[in-house]
Amino acid sequence: MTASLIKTNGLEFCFKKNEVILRNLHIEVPKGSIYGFLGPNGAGKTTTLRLLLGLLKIDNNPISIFGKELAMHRLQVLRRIGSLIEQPSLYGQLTGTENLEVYRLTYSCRKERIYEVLHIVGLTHAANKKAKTYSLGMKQRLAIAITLLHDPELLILDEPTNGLDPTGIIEMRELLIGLNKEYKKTILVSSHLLTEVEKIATHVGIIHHGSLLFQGTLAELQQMKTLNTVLELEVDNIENAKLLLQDMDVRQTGEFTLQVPVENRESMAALNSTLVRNDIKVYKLSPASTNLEDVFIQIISA
Amino acid sequence: MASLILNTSAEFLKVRRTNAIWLTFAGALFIPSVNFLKLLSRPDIFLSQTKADPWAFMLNDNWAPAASLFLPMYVILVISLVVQIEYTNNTWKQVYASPRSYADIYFSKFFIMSSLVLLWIVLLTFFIVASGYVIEMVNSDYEFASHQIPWKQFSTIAIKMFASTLGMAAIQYWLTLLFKSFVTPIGIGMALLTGGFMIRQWEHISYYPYIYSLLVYFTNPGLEEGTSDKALLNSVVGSIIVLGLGFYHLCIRKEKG
Repeated sequence: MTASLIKTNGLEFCFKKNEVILRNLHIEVPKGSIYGFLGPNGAGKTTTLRLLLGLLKIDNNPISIFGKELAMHRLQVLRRIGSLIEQPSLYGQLTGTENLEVYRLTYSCRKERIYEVLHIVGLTHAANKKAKTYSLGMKQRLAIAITLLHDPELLILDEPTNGLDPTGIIEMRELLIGLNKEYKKTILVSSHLLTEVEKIATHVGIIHHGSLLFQGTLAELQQMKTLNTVLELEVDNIENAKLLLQDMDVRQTGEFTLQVPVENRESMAALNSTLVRNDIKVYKLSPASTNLEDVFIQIISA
Repeated sequence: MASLILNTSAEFLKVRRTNAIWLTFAGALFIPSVNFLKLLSRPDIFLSQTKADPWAFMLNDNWAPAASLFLPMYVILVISLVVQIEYTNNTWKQVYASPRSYADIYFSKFFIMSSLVLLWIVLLTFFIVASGYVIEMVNSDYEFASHQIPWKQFSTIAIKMFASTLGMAAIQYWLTLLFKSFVTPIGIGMALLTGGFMIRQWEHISYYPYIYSLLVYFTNPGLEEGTSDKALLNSVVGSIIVLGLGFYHLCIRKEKG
């Protein structure tokens, strides 16, 4: 069984009494994973990540990172984490290299490490430009370079694709996958862009109104998606088809099209077989819900 | 300890090319520049006044406005500017998410602010001396070069003035951490400074940090003897107390960054 780098045991938080932000969160981020932390705006993602970094104070000690209680071992834990919370935190009047130098001093790493991380994020060409002249994509890259300076085992990234154009999003996605695969970083990345998480995550946690609604591997989530699939059929004889499938919750959506809910892949095959055996021609058989977004919406609206 | 030194170096790097640096140089240059123009434009008035002891004249003519107004104003502004580097760049959270103790974060920043105040005082001293020599180069009737510079007097005033700002600096620092706004702590500081002028003759004025530089520099007619020394001591002791309280408050704050 893969060890969990992050484990929260019933994490709860509120800024004011009677205004609960997080409810009983049990998050487990396995070592070596890319854990996509999904949720709509205001769900509690950033608050959770701020708690994991010790930026918010809580009375009990429900957070354990690298097997250590965060509250008791804050400095030891933070030495092994690279983080980016909300927008990139950069000193605009300093160059890329100088920004890295500020944190290099804090992390006491080798001088050459600055050039290594600039190379990893592809910013060598802009190293001596002031950070305030960078595009948002470059700022995000520099912020990620800062998180990599001390070669941490764990990266905590809060919406790193926020505000990026499509090219920037693709570049960021490739960068994160590369960091996970080549540099063996465990990455906890929050996002409300579900399609993005689907493309990079190995594990997913879905939070809504401060509660964790789902946690598991991407495969498990996709399995859940299959369980909730609605098939769309196009047939030559709609009346016969409706008669044959009358025990199912069939809905006619067009002159020759029907929608039928199915529970698994076997049900899909059986359905097709039944129609064909009864001389009904099937021109189209495809899932009406095709992406994680639908599953996500189903989960949060359940 | 090594990490405190490294992080303080990092804090120095952060102020590079900021308004805090510009203000330090321009602020220190302002009073000597005005006096420079004054002496050169009206030698008929100032030649006789500088004749006996030109450096004593220069020292007082520059330090009197500095001690009463410019130094405390500079302290209020520079502390806000240094803390605003983190607010405007949205970097506080990154500072607190890095492996630094709260003491390191809190005290290294105060060390930077104090260093800038000290730099301002050193620069002011340098500009006073430099302006004396340049005045003589432009108008040879002035006699600065032939008189010995009273370095001991300059140094004593510099040290006393620095110590007199510590109390208000500690209060201003706490205010800048309490208020995200750039204007609020400056407004409070300026109000307290001007309020101090208005109650200057109050018998307990030595417990009012915003006017310590004035009390320490000038003789204080109408106030009890030893008010200057008491103000100086209160500034140092007060800064330790306020810094301690500010640090405690930082540690118990629910939200950091």
